[in-house]
Amino acid sequence: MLKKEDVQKVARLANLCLSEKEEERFSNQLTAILDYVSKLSELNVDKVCPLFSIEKERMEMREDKVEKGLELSEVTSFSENIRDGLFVVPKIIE
Amino acid sequence: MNLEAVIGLEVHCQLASCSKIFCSCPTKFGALPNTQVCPVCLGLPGVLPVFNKRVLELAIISGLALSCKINNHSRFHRKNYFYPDLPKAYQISQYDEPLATGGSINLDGKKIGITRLHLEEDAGKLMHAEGASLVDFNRCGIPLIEIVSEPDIRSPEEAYAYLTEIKAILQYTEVSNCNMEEGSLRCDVNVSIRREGEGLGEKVEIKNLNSFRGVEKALHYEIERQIEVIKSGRKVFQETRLFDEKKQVTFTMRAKEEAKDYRYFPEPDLLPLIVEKEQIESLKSQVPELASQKKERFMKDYGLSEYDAKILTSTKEMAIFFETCLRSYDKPKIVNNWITTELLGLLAEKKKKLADSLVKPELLTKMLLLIDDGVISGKIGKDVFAEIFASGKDPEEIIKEKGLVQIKDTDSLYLVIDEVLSENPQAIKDYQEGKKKAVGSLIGQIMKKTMGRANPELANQLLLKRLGEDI
Ligand SMILES: [Zn+2]
Repeated sequence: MLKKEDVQKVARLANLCLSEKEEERFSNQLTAILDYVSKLSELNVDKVCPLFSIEKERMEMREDKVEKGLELSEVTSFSENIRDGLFVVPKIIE
Repeated sequence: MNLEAVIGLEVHCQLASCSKIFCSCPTKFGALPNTQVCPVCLGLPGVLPVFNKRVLELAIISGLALSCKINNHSRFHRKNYFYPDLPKAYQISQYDEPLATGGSINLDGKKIGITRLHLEEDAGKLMHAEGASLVDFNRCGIPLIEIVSEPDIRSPEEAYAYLTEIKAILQYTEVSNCNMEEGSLRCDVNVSIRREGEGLGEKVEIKNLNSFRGVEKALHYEIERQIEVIKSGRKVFQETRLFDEKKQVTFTMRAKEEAKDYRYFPEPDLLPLIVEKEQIESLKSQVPELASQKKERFMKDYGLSEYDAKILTSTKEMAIFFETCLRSYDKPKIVNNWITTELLGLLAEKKKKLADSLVKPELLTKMLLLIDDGVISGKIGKDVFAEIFASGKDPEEIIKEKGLVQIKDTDSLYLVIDEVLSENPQAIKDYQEGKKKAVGSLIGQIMKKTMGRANPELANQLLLKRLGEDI
């Protein structure tokens, strides 16, 4: 069973705010998922090579060619909070 | 108590491809904010990254130049964290299977190990304004290599030398322009103190370092701070600190709410990166002669001192300038002297770079030939050179314009010599009484009267004749 602290940590890392009720519910759900996946570790795969893709073995690459991206007007339409073509976000202080 | 600093450096360097690492957006510096972005680098839903072939080539060349082993099989991972400059909320990077490992560079005989070199994408740029921060995503997806050193560095000066050498290597191989002002070269520092007989102390990371001198200064401060903490019996904490360039101190970065927990996992949208032996072999031929090799060759082939050879090979342009001069003027030591004293002196004085100076190799060598032919003296040469530097004019033209041609005809020189002698009866007397030094001051006055244009050997000869020497 996943501990409450684990759920809280995962939620924090995912920028989620969970109520106590949700913490309990997700703890159950996550535990069920992990249990299900952990069935895989019952298998002995010592002699099995890792399979990265069923389709291909290696990555396709592209030539170093420039293509036009989005128009600034399209880009700025993704947010209501734009200043001089820049996205406005809450002030970051390091 | 014997304390020793242990330093490791992480260098991030932008590779000189035309388009980004996983999309076709341009990488050009200086564009208006958010005008070089597309759905891929903005992390919009439903897009797929496609890896840039040229980026791989440049990264392999970098790895080879740093004597790394290029791994046949490497992978991309997702590094997950939330920050406003990272629209996907993860950075595609490499984790436990980097492209290259186990390299090294040489610093005057000391070997500094390179742990790894891996590929990753850059994040956007955050600017801070009144009451808000502003984001430009143009840099998102700019191809970077991260070069991680072994903790082999022991002093701030060594860190500076390491960075200078890394930069020289990356510039020589032309994989990057290494322009720090444009953000194409950045550096993070890890430093801890080791007590003799004990293990390493806690590691402190320093960020916000904008120049190599800044790295050196920040390290000086930080090492002293840590030693003081240890000597006072307290403990150094593992943390990230920032360097304040103005106050020359490091200070604790606001403690992040999270300990670093990037939850790396294999990037499911990209297949493993396979590099064939043949590709590595063919790229090996593209690794040019590096600064350190050039330095050795300059010493051996041209008989230069290590000091001079180092200056001449400090940038590729300088080395090319020097060797281009030699094609039309085969006296390496003389060319070296003019470059390292006159040219570098003027560049420093006028705060210029060689690339934007008006002096061209042909102009310098043409002038040197004029000196050798006796048309002008070496001393006048310095004035002519300063004029070439200022105007880019042909030395012959400068000499004609300013009437700087050397005086070599006997009659004209005798006129001046006789004038000087008539003004200095005491010097003649001194000379005749055996004070041979008097000649020096007389020659000095002859030069002054001719504004440096008298041919020194001939003037000397004629003067001695007038003084009654039988030559
Ligand atoms: Zn893009």
